Amino acid sequence: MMSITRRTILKMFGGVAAGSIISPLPWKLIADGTIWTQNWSWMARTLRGPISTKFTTCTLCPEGCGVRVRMVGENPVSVWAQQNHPVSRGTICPIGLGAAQLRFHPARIERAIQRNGSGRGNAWTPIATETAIAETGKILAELRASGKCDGLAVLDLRPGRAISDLYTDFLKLAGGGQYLTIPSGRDLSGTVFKEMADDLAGAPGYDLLHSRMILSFGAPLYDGWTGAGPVPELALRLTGIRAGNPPGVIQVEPNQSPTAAKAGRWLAIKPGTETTLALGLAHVILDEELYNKDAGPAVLDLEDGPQPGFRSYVRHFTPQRVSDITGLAPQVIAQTARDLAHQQPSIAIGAGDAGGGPLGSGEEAAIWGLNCLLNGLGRRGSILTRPALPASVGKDSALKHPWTLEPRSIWDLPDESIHLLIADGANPGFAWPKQLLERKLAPSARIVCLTPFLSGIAEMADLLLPTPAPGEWLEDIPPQILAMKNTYGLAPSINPAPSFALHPGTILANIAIAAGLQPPGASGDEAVERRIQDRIEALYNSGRGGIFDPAATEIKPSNELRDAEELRAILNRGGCWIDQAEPVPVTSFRFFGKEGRMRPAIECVTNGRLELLTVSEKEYPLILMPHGSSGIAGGGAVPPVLTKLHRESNLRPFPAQAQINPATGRKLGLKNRSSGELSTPAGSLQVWILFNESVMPGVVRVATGPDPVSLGDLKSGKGPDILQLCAITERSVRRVSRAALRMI
Amino acid sequence: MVIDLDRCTGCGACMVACAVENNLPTPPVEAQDNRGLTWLRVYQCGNGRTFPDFKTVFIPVPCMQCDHAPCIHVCPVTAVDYDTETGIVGQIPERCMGCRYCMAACPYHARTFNWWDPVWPKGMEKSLNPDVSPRMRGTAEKCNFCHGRLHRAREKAASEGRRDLNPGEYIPACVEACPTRAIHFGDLQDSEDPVAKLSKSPHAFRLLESLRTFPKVFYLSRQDWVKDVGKSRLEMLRKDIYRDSESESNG
Ligand code: SF4
Ligand code: SF4
Repeated sequence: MMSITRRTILKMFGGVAAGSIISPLPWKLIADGTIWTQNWSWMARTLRGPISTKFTTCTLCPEGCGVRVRMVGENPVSVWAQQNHPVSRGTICPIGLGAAQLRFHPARIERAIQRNGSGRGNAWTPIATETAIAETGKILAELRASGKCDGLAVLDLRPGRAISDLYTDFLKLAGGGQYLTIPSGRDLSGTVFKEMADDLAGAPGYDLLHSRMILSFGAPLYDGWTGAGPVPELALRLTGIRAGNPPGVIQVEPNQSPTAAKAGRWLAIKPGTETTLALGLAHVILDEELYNKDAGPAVLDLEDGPQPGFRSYVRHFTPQRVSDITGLAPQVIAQTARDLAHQQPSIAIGAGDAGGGPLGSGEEAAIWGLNCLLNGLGRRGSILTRPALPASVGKDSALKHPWTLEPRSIWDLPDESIHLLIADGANPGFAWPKQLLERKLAPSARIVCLTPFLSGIAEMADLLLPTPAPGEWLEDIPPQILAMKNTYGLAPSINPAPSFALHPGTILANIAIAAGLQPPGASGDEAVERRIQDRIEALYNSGRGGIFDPAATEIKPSNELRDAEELRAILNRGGCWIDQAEPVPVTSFRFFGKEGRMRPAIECVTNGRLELLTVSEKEYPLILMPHGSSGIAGGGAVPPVLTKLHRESNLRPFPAQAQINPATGRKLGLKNRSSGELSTPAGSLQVWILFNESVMPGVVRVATGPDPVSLGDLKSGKGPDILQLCAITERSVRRVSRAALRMI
Repeated sequence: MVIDLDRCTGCGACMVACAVENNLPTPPVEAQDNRGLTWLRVYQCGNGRTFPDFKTVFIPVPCMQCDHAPCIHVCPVTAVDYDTETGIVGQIPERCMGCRYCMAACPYHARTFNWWDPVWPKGMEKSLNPDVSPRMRGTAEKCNFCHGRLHRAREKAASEGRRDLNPGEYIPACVEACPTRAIHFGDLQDSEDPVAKLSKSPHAFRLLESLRTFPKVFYLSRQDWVKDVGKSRLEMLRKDIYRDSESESNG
């Protein structure tokens, strides 16, 4: 009999192991096991139903790109660019590509909610919509009764739309109050231009597509600054495409943003020295007589008058002096000025970065001045001024005004002057300092937000009333600020709004009724429809412009249409009205603005030191520069699919990441990929330190968005609000503040 | 496919379009960053120098659809498939048992793994592309040049009595979405096709050519340092700009 030894047992196990490898059984078990554990009833299923396409206009930002929506039944499943659309020219941005997700955004509110207790904590409780409206109406009635109607304010984050008319009508009905907006960098740039161009009857716009050279002062040209529309053309000017030729785009920016990385020339100036550079370029243009004074508007303050003229002012800004302040080589400054003067038409653009805050008036004035010297006003390929839109003279008495109602900047209000703020929930797409808004609120002020999402300004509100998400209601899209041409598009409802969502116009009418007022006529969608109809009739009656129809290949002159109804029908199916009117000439221009009003702004930064940087350099050795992408920086809800860019790749940073040049990091004893504390005189925040070679030594660069909540991750909470750390001006945050960073 | 790196601005529209088209979920909150599913990842790479001489290139990396695909050879359950007509390397999730050999074999990091059940925020599955089934947990997946789009185009052609597709009738989502028109798509076998011509340009190169995987994705750049990153220094794709090490100079 065979005895069982240790050797036999080992042999047996060896045999079993060897047999298992060649037997299919274990593999089959593994495969079946995986399948059993992989398939569950909760696995997502795709919709079934008839597939169709709808053409419309994107409303996620003010740009108004033409889009094509793929539908399954009544559900939009994807959004793509509409070919040949005159605004977006066959492109849309990543936010638009994910737009079909927005109506299911986790931050969507599905009923009225109110904040628990006072303060700006995060706990909310449901409240009946009628109660919420009645409470708001009561506050309004009290304000009116106590003669404090000025304490009522409506904040419109995207003025100029048909719904904006309902906001102003509401204020008229209430008998007072403020119609407000938070101005973007573009708004502020346009305002400065109007100060400088005398008696201007239009609005300035950049003719980027026909320019030969663009000098951008930090504007993220390739990162959503002008929507995606001009990007295909601008891409032709990218690095290396025209080797040996002058660069098509010159980017002035301390850090290497994507636009700086791709521009033909990147001028890495010291933070906050843009005005000095613009004046230095003006110096070279005037000194070398590169300025063609016969072609532009009459310049009224170039030479000395009662006050020193612009020529004598910039005399001191020699390339050497500008070099000392900006850190650029004198030859680079001189060469850039010559290139701009020779590569006509050229444009200098400002307006800032969506996260970094607008440029100051001084910078904007210096940049507009440079455009004037470059012969850049009123010529194809440079700065063009578009005429006002045809006036809308509606049947409704309240509508007898052109539809360019100018709201007031919220920053111009006295502190603590708002008692009841009704805020529109549109995503402005740019970051703005919450602390500045807090200042404008009276201690007992209430904020009521009409919004589909609990993000952006809604997070500051006391009461939220749910409204339809983008694509669920009829909206119109007036021209973008600084656009080269007037355009007008419609975004009809693509899918029905859920029953919990109330139209903002209906909410306002109900608040008015609750306050004992009698709103006239229609409200909600019907009122917006009427405003839109009036606008379309005004466009048609003007005989101006052409109409792009997605079903046709060419733009048809509007005056070949049968009637306004035909114009409306084309707009409803995703078309776009585009103005063909000649630009309004700029007849005269003042570098220092009317009555020299821009003089202090230009002069205050020309010594190259921002007053803010006088904070102790020893204590705060770094310069904090916030930045962000258009549409994402403002904290509004964005499609969760954008996590692909912000979390699942390193393509776009997250607000909690403090990026710093490795050399600076090592000098300060910091370690890459470690936790840190970023502090400024305004406070401190916990951050994640990341070494990044593209950041200027001495600078710490932090994105202002997207926070986890706006991306749909409610569990992680808000994340740091970097603007809370930035020094603020009267109008926004400073783009540069002193800061310290240490490991924790 | 030919991707012009001198035109790519790193906007990421291609990544988002890819995720929308192919029903790629967002990872759960507790997932580590960079662990989500991406069929196309845009890497930001540097030239190895430091500020202000630092230069950036954005490199979109889909599956290279290698002609000699290592992922095919290592799969024990034949879940990786090669279509001889189109040259597209396909992935059959129902067969995949999750061993991840293919991920280890792919030199381009083009494959990702379903670590979690694909879950979308409540209701959001109503916005999924009906032409592409969501894959299950425990399977590897990758870019297939938008197979759903190819099927749709073929069905349309068939309904019009054609066997062949017209030029431009079928393009992957990334090609459609790219605002700078950096991604070109066509038939590499047809010498008259503009894309085949671009792939023969003196500025064209393929990633890690020395591995002889013969990718069907070509890149274009007129900058030598970019070609150098792509041809031989792909480890930079992983390190990208947030590098731990001291700067190394490569020119
Ligand atoms: S790139 Fe990777 S996944 Fe694609 S075929 Fe080649 S080896 Fe396979
Ligand atoms: S969409 Fe085009 S430009 Fe944008 S990252 Fe992708 S390839 Fe580059």
